Amino acid sequence: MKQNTDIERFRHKSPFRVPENYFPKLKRDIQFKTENIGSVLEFKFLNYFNIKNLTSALVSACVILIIYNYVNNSVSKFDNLDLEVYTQFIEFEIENFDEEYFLEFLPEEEYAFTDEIEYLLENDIYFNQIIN
Amino acid sequence: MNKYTDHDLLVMFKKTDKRNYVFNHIINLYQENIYWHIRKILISHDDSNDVCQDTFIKVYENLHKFKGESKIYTWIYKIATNESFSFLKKKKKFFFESLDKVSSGLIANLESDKYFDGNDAEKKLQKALLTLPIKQRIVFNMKYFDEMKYYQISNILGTSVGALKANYHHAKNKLQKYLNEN
Repeated sequence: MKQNTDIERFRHKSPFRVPENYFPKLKRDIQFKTENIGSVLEFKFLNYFNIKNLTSALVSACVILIIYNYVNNSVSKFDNLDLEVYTQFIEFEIENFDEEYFLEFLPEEEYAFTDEIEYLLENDIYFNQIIN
Repeated sequence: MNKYTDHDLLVMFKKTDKRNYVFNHIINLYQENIYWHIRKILISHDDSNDVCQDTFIKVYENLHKFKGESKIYTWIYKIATNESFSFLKKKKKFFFESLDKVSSGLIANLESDKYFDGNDAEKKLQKALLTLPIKQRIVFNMKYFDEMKYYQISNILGTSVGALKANYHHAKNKLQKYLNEN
């Protein structure tokens, strides 16, 4: 018959062990590792606030520079594009300039032809010819 | 060895010339308890050695930030517990294993452990322990082997005393059942 095992019967002691002289070695290993990080830690500790301030200043400067460049580039791109379109538009307008259309916008008294000029125009006589 | 309070140690640690002295003092005071705490979670000596060293390196790196709201030993135990959990999680991730399989890995470690001094019954108890959920196992180890008080375990694990009592009770029943059936 199988006997029940009472958990309280065990010795309340860990059954594991460590290699001989393990703990002095563990201490030396930890000391060796912390010696190497000691100087780094000191630097960190002493310069914590300086580094913090410097980092935030640098980050702010970078952000401002990036935003400035972005805005500047967008504006100059827009300007170049705008100028190009405007030039093309003007060139087109010059090529297709309709004088009669333009005259329609002038006040009547400024473009009203005199009877003489009308006569000359109707008979294909050049105005220069008469002057000469 | 001089007896310093936690406050003395923290004040001295902030002075650069005393830092190593204080840290050595802390290693002397706690390294064995911390090692055994980790060893009972990870079973393997080599893994425990690595995690124990990492724990003390973290202590060294962060002691100047420690505000002294708890005892230093409670704080170090917390770091050691977290480091052990992280180690098991990493192992689980690395091998794409479930936590159960990690337990079976730990049982394999136990079987091949050349630094195990217990008899067959004690090995059986250790195997039974490895079948428990990790938190129950830690609570059981701290109460049964380290004979810690519930309030001390509560400070370390951040769990209420009532929940710890329930954990210990369940763990004990499961272990008793395992031992009777196997």
